[in-house]
Amino acid sequence: MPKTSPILPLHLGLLLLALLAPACFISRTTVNEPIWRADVDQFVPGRTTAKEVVARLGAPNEVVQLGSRTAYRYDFTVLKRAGFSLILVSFLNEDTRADRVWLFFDAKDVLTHAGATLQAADARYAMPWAHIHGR
Amino acid sequence: MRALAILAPLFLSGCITFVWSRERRFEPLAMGALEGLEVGRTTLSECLLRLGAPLYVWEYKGDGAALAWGWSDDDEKRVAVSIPLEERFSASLSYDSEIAKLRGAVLLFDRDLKLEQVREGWLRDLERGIGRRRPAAAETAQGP
Repeated sequence: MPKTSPILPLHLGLLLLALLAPACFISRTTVNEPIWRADVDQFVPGRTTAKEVVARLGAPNEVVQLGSRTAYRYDFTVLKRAGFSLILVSFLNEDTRADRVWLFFDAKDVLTHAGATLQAADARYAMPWAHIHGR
Repeated sequence: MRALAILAPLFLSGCITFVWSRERRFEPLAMGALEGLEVGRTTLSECLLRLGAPLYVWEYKGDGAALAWGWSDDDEKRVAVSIPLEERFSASLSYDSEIAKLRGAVLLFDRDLKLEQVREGWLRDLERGIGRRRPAAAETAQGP
């Protein structure tokens, strides 16, 4: 009866580890600085000025002219990427979520409207088949 | 046997692979979020409260505004044949490449910032319909 060397499972294990270990990765990319709810809540339509907004949040990422009005955009984006490759097959998933604030000012640079969506923290590492964000 | 010997190095070097990739960008609007919006009555404030911050704001009819909400969920399975030679990124293409992939809704507001129209579809098509023009990228601008 042939005898199996106890070294063989170890070798197989090492081989599998060598094949699989370098085959997966995760990465996280962010753009701009996070936006905090407490900061946004301090802005009061009819009272807060563009100057006060810039003093608190810094320069906006975009300024849009809307006739005599202006709108400032602030955003913070998180991209989480997860991948897995095994010789012939590769799986890659990217999930991008953002914190975003738009602030609208009248001709006198007084805040008239504000809209905020803070979802950057919801970005997930996942595989393509995974259901995330309720989808 | 000979064919196998030719193909094997291609597969093993990663030149030919089956790739399942998925790219999810931004959170879709909640189901029914656009229902109940009334043209001529709903205000910008109500829309911002209900839908959150838009992705884009564009000028519209002078003092009006067009607000766009968008998202994507691209699920792709393919056999990829690739020989990576060089990777480049052009910042001037990022806006166009992003908006091309996004579905969503655009809400148009008149000069009094009352809702004028709701449009749904691919954001690139909706943006064209508004007739908004983006400034030329610096490297493609023509001198006098």
